[in-house]
Amino acid sequence: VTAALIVPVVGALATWFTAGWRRSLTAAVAVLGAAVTAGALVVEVAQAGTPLERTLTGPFGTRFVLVADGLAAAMLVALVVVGVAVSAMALREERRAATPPHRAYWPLSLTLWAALVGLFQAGDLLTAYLLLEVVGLCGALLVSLRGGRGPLLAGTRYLFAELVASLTMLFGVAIVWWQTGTTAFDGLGTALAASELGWLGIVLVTVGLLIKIPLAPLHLWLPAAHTQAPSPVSPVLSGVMVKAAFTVLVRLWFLSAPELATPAAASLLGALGVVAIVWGSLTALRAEGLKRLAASSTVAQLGLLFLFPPLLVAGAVAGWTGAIVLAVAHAPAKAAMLIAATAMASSARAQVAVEASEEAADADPQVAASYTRHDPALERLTGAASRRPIAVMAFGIGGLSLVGLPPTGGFIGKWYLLLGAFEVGAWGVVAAIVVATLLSAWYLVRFLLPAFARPDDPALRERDGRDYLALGLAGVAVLIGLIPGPLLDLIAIGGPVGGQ
Amino acid sequence: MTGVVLGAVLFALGLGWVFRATDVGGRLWGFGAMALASLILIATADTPGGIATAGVAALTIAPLLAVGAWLRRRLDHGRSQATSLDEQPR
Repeated sequence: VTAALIVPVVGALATWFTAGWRRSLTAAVAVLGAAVTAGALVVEVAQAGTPLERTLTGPFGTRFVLVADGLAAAMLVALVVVGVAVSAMALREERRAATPPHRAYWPLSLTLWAALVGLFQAGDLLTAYLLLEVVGLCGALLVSLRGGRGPLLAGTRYLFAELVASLTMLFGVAIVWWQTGTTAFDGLGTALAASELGWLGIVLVTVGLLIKIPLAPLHLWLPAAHTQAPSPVSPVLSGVMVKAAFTVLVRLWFLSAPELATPAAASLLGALGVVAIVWGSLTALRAEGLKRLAASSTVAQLGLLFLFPPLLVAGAVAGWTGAIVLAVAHAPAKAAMLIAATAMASSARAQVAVEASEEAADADPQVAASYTRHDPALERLTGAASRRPIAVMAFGIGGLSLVGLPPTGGFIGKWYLLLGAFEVGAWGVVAAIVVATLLSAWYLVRFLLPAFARPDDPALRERDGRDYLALGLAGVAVLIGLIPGPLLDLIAIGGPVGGQ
Repeated sequence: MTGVVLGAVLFALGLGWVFRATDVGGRLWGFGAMALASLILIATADTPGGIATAGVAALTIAPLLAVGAWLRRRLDHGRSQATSLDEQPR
């Protein structure tokens, strides 16, 4: 546990004090070390077969409780897969791109890595709060790194949403602390039951976590932040970071203090999930750019994760399994889609630059180029399959996982969710899954059909490392679907009622 | 109990200020009040280690507020170069 936390922090410091090729080398070594140590922790959990709880002592005698269970291990797998891929992309950009990543990129992203490793294991309200602060701080700065008014506005709004969430959560933690004298998840349910106002603290903590996830209608900051973030940042934001607060919420409500999860509270979370599915899907259907489409679909996919609480409270553990598999499979699938979108943006940008120079009277070329630089407009991507076939294939496979078609991880997740829903006769959840599937297929077709509208022409084809990275990530989403056993076994460790 | 009442009032005032303010600076003051409310509640609770815990929490809030102030300066600096296209983050 300690190594998995310390290695990325040391890497963050080392990359801040180096420059040029030394920074690239340091970053590569740090990412490799962080991936190996996190992987070792996953193996340790898998071999132990039971949750591993550790308490670390921090400054001023504060205690940090970390619980490495199946949920944490599964999320760590997602972090390692996406983290290594985006780091490879950033290293490539440092060598080849006209505008290499900002000097602060590596220190921030490695600090974010360390905070996520801790957060996925958080077993204490204060530990979760402190690490969520670090995640929010790094996230807002990473979104703003490109500079320019768009990223700065997106980063500022993201920071404000984080601050509202953090301070609401902190006030909730303060009330819990005042009422019970503890913030550890373990035994919190019993302590809260004996208090008068403890429930208010938990409500505030939950609202803060829902803003941080974010679950609709508290998500309005997300699409702009994820679209404006630099290319190597968006996949981490959309694929992994959104699962951090989700993991804390799930561990608090359904693993450590299940007595908190009343049927009414679970139904409310499920209803919010349905709102998120509809809202996120409709936003994706109206999106003008490809990254915006992918970011909006994240809102809908997060809604899908929240269909499990009513199932679990009713006794269907399969619903829990399905939601966690969906959360893990979503990470490589969404990262593949966003990296593929970045690769396609390069081609679209070149095309826009040519058109803008030919029709200078129509638009300011500089504005047109910046408009499509990081988020290619869908209308510019007609025939994209003839220019970037590998990127389009990766985007399509990632999309299949989001829709939930076999043989992807998304299919396994939805399958288990449906099993749980049938088990307890939750027909509303079944309907929500069907609606989510149809809507996700609809908004993905908005890009995929025009992408194949032009005949294949080998002379137009482009490809680079990003296309293959995206394809590799999409392959991981398929691998989860083809060989789900190890992930299902991992998730069962420390799962509700002894696992599936 | 004084700490609880003071904390609750400060939190409500701060939250109201955040949503009422129209500029970045005003919102940061609101966030500051919200943070102070929680710190007072933690520090005055009848639980050992309250002041130390409040101190650690304050240490994590301070950088967020500082980054908010930094982003505000960057936004003010870039306002003259803004275009209608990128005024709203897409």
